[in-house]
Amino acid sequence: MSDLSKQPLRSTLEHIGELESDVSSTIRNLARIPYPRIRFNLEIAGKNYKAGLDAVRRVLTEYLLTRAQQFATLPQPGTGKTQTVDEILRKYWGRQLNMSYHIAEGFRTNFALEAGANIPFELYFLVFDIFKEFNFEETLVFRPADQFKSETFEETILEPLDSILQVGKQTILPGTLEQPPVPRDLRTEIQLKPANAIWYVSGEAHNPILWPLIIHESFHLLDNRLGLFQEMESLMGSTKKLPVLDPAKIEQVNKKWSKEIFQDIAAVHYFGPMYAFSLMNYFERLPYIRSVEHPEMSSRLYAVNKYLQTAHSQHTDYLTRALSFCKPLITRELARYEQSGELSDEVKTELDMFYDAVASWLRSRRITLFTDRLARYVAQGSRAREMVDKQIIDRVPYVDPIFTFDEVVDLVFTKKVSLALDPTLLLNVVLAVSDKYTPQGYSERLVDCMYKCRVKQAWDLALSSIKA
Amino acid sequence: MTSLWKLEASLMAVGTGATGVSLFQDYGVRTPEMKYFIDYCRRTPVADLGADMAIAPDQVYLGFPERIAQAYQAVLDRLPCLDKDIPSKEELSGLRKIIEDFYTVLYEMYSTLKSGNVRLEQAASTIHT
Repeated sequence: MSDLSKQPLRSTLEHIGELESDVSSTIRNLARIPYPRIRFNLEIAGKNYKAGLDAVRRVLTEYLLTRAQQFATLPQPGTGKTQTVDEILRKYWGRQLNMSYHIAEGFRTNFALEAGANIPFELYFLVFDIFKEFNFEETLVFRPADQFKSETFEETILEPLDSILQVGKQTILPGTLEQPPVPRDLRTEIQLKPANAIWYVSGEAHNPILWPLIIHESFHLLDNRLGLFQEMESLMGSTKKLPVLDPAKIEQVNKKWSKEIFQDIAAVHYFGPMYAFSLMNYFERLPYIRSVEHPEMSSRLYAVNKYLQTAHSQHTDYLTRALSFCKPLITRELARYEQSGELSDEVKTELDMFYDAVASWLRSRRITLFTDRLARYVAQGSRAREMVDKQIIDRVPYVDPIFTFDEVVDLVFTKKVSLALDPTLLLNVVLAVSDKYTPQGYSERLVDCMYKCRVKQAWDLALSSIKA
Repeated sequence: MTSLWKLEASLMAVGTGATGVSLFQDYGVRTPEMKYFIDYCRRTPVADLGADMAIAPDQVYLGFPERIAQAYQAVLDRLPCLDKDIPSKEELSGLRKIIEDFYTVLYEMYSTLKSGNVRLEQAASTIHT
């Protein structure tokens, strides 16, 4: 045992050093990851955690220890006795010491989880594609957890330490201790690179039915960083207002619920109709409870169902087939809510107006939505014949003809072909036959399809660069 | 869903409040810790403490959101005693105790979430209902 009275906090500080070594070692081991972009993202995350651990160390040494040393010199009124630094730390700052330890441990644990995440790497690119639509280039990592969520690294690392960092920079009130403990703003000295984590349910990592929920979290993340909801709200103008789903709740709660539904509407437009199925499936697997952050399930399903009712595309039969699969399921579910009185006409009217506003905002953003991707697929596929006729097929990796819904199902599930089909198109087909082919049993093939699509995109990009 | 970082931030802030009030009680000095906590309570609604939960019925989760809201309200009710030039000993010790109680219930929720009890309890509730 060390003599704590001579070297207060030594053990804790030593442990933080060990945690930093662990993080460094994990960063070195990232070399095994075959995708440079994902490796680079994880490296940035690791460096952020190291910066966080350094911040905890500085909080302990430059704030807590300094404060305790100041009070150790003061006699207590009444008794006139002084206390040792250790006594003061334990008595007055014990809780912060305890939490500092937990927070530091949390940094190391988070990074170990992120670096060893069991989610298929190809799903990273599903998110990168959305980022690209918004010209968003910040770091992303997946974190295995027990829920779907998104979080910035400022939230993970800086927010828990914020109170201490704020106290450290406060000027001392008149009539109190003269010397500020940490005169400078430590928070501005902690160098974090902009980064974000998407949490996913670890036990569902290989369940394709829930992969579309990652799209929902991606929109949360983008909203958090780019203020998408606020942008949409300002487009609504003064004549329209956000939905009030429960007048008994305060405006702040109703606004949070609107945001949640906003992400759902954006996700279903971006991903396609099977997002609705994914959402409902998740609610069935995980008992859903309304909270401050999440509105009633009925409101969320009603909003995504609006898309199912209005979406149309003449390109291929993917959309119509997917709709014919999931529309009856969602309609039945909504009928139950209506019968039980959970989904009132007032709420539906509020959601109808809100849906139109969000859909209008999405169009104004000109991002590539599901129906746009369908059109692009048909345009590219129609060149297949031309490639053969012009005998230039050898110069490009491959251009598939346009496959029908049934052909995709047959190729992927029966003939065991990994099609280089856009992941969102692929998932909208394969999830729409999940009553016949359990998607969980085919996750490896689906990942292989997604991998081949990336390779094809890389080829296309290389070819277009050569042409340019 | 509950954010661990929000709970961690709340625990640190409330811990800072306990520090500030204890130092005021024992040394008679108004520290930046105390000032921070007063400002924190004035600007932080209960919804931002990180105690909202959407993953299971409250009765399974020991009613954390309600317990935390009550504990926070108790702190808010007693906090104005710090506006006095010289609060009484009873007022200060009473405030210190309820801040510590508030910290305890937050910490209990934090430990429950961290230990994974939530998932176990959720599984249990699914089986029994």
